[in-house]
Amino acid sequence: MKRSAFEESNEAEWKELESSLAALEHGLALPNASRLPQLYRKACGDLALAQHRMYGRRLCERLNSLVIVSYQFLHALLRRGGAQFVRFFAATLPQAVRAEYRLVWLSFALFFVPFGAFLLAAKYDPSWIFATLPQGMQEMMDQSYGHGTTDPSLSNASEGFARFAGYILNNVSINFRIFAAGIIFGAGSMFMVGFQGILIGAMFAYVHVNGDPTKLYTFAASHSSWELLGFIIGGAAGMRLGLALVTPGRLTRSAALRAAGKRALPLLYGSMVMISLAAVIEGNFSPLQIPAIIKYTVGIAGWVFFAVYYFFAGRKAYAA
Amino acid sequence: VAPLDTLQTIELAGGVQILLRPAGPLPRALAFMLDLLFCALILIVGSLLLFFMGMFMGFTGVYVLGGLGMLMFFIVYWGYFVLFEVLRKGQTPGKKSLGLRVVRSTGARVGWGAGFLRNLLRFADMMPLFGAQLMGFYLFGTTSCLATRRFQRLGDLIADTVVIYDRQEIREGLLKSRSPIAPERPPLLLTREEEQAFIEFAERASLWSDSRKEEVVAPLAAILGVSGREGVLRALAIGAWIRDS
Repeated sequence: MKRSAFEESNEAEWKELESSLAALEHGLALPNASRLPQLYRKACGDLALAQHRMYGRRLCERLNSLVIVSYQFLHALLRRGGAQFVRFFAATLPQAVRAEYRLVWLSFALFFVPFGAFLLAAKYDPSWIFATLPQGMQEMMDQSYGHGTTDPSLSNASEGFARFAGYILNNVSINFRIFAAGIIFGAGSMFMVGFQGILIGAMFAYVHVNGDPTKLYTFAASHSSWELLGFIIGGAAGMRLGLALVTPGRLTRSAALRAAGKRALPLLYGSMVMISLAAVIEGNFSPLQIPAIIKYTVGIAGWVFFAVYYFFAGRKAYAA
Repeated sequence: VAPLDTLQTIELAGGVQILLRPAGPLPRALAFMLDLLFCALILIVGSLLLFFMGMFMGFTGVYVLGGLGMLMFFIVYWGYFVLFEVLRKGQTPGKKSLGLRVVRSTGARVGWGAGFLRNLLRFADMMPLFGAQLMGFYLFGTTSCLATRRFQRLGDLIADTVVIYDRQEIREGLLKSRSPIAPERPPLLLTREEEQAFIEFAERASLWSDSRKEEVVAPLAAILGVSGREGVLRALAIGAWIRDS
């Protein structure tokens, strides 16, 4: 069949598909939506024919873009809404964390070993703390948690919101960076999680030596589990990316990276949610002037909740 | 037949092959610059709005507006690309103005997962960083782009996405030769690759100077046993014949 004859006999249907796609592009309702799959299959067939018969660039590329755009509309993601959301927190997230338990424990150790080391330093050799924590931060800790200074309480309700926004900007950004830096063979995430362990450890140890630890612990207890486990899980997600480059196994490195992205995504979402909720608590609940015992209870409840959640949630109900 | 071009062949579930034209680092860098300008514009307009609101709210509004300002910066810095790419069918304003689009490597739309991954990894692609870790020289991303077949930066590799030219517009006027040439039947049996080469030459010849045409057509002219100007004319005639018959 000559190219011109081929074009003439099929032009009507291509035009119809083109106008349907243009309408979809502008978000209009289609009068003949049920014909779309049929027209799409027709265009697929015509494209294959045109390519095989070498009808030239103009025709082939016209059909090619018809097929691409139709494919994008026909295979668009359906919004699955609430059920998906519930399933994520009931099963997908804890399952994904257990699937990466080695990396999560590694991340946990990278944070808590330096943290613990600084608490020991507070007892045995405080010079480590003064050598580590910058002068400016030492003064900041003196102001907030020193002896006899004002408590870090809220002056009015809207200050809670401002603090929340600041913690979101600071902490969620740190978490995203911890994750992304993992692509550097995992070293970026490991360094940044360890760095957080050193920094926060030195801050706590400094208050033990030079300040009033009760003030610090009553402030930090409530949101501690949300924030620290968030960083730790975000770090594990980043290490997963780096591990794909270091040990791709039987995949090519690019295939391993794609697979790692899929595995890391639930951890990333989980850590993002945990740190955002930590910011809500840290901005609004942690500064409240209420008895210390309530805050410690809330803090311990958080750690117990996450231990139970990550060890046991999603083992039966949604087991795939 | 394998395309004689940098196009990427993708086979869809239905068995049909489509062609994607991946975009290189340069148009993408330009699109990124435009997006940066647009981000700056959003932040400036947003800050002015907050500032004027602050004039009416007085001192008590400081915390609320300060908080809103920080949230605005957070959303623009981490969310601008994700939101546009996922909600605007793979196009940020910068990409749109350069005719680019992000798609999954199957040609399908990017979803939240892919959009999120590829844009968080921007932080790694931007390294080495400057300006309080907010901006970077894109050394990692450029290296990765140049080292992969589909110009994928690290974020693209992880999210399994490609940046492509959106519409492959054929400038009809350019492809038509000035003087119509009578189609000529090839004097001998050609392989499919040779037929394809004749067609591609005929369709692009008008984009080149005469001496470049003669240079490019030399291998084809050798098949016909001619050379120089005559080779060009014969190849054009044969290309037209193969395509239209």
